[in-house]
Amino acid sequence: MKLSNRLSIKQINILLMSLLLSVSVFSKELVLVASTTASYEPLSPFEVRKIFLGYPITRANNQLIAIRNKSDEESYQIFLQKVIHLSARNYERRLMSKTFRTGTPTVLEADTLPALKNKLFNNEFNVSVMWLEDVDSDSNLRVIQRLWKQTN
Amino acid sequence: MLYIYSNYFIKIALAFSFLAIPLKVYAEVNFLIFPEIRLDYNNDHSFSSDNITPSVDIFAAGNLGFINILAEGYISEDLQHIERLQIGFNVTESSRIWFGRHHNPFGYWHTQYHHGTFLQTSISRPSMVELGAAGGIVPSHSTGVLFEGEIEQRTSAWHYALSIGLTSQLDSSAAGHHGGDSTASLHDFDIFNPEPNDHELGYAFRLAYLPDALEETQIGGFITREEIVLKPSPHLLSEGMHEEESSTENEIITLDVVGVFLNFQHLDFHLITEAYYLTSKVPTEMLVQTSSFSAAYLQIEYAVNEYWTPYMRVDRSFSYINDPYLQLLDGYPVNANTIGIRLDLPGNNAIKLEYSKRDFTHENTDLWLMNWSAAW
Repeated sequence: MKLSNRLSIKQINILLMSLLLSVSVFSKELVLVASTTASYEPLSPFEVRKIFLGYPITRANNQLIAIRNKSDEESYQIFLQKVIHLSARNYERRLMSKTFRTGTPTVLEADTLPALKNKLFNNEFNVSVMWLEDVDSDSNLRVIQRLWKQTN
Repeated sequence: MLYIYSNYFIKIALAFSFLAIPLKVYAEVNFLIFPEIRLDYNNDHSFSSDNITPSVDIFAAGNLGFINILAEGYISEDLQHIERLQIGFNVTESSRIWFGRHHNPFGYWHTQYHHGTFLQTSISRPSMVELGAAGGIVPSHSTGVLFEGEIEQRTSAWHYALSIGLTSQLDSSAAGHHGGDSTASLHDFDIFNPEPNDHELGYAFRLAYLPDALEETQIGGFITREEIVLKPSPHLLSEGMHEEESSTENEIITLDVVGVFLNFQHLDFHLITEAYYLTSKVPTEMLVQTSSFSAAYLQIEYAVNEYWTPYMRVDRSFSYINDPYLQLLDGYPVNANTIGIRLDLPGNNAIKLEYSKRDFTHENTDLWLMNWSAAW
């Protein structure tokens, strides 16, 4: 028996719509983001990891400042796994150890999305990590590069 | 006693008051607090309240414009110290110069952990990198100039540090601090109670290679020369062996140390090892005795999961018998075998239990340690 004989056109449309919705819901992307005034080149994966481990990276003679996005547990965990390659415990200890050893400042953090956005708007050399959908919903933010995409 | 405590608290408050300035001008001041409660039990002594040692290490670092400021204070019942007090600036993006009291840059352990006991997996430090005031054999701090930096090559890096400053004095009558058992120990230069005539210069150069600049694995070496003023004990003075008043110059021990170190980390496995070769020139009644000995340790840790990390360490000394320098430092365990386990708890808390069998030049002891440490 053919599929078209079993399902009406309306049913097929509903199925297709559901499929599209499910793809858009589950296909999340984690991106490196800054304010729209930022105009520097993307960073290499090594540089992204480096800046979030508290080491200096310079663009246009200015030092980039990383801000950890701790407003969303899921994105933070993916950031740790895919970008930093450390557990949360080891990452915190690594930052603490570096500050204690050298006196250099630790990597800043923001606990809420509005607070993070404010920090990004205040300085074009501030960068952070967030879901692509959060960037798309704010015209003052710009994607520097994609860091991770969910594969279904 | 109360006066002594208040005196030290004033010193520590004064040190940290530097950071009140950048706090107002520039909000990025990093504070860290490392509290610890340590219990120790030695088979030669009965357990009492003296075996419980609470302490706290307070650290702060910030910027005032282009000036970097760093301060660290250690407070326990017996000891209140300014561990580090540094003012400096960035020479380049990857090099800094500091003035003040800093960690003597030798080896791996000493530069990595120092007083932040939460950061190190074990409770105790290896014998050869024990803090000077706790029976250690290499001066822990230097007061002078520290130049340090990194040179990157693609994804690898070189770290270097050069230090010149006033080094320790060897007080042969002082009781041990920092939990040590020694009757003679190295005493660092105290910037709030300076006695420059009792301290000479020390020099150190350390170089480390990191195959991956963003990982902890590194291999390196260092060389130091320490001119250590020997402060004679009252016992020796009374016997007329060291007539302090009639002497025009201090008696000075020259200590040269060369060493290599390796820190290897892969996933949950962690290995730290260091080997030092120490040459000393010790003035005695009739002549200056030159002697050498070597020391090494190996510590292995394995994180079973996020919570449990068992570890073991072997400390060994070689050609140390009748070494005149070690004869002055009777709190140094020449050999030790240590096993322990660390339990990490949420909120940067850890509980550790450790057992060591330690051999001194004239006795052996079993030492049990238990501690709670944290980082806030």
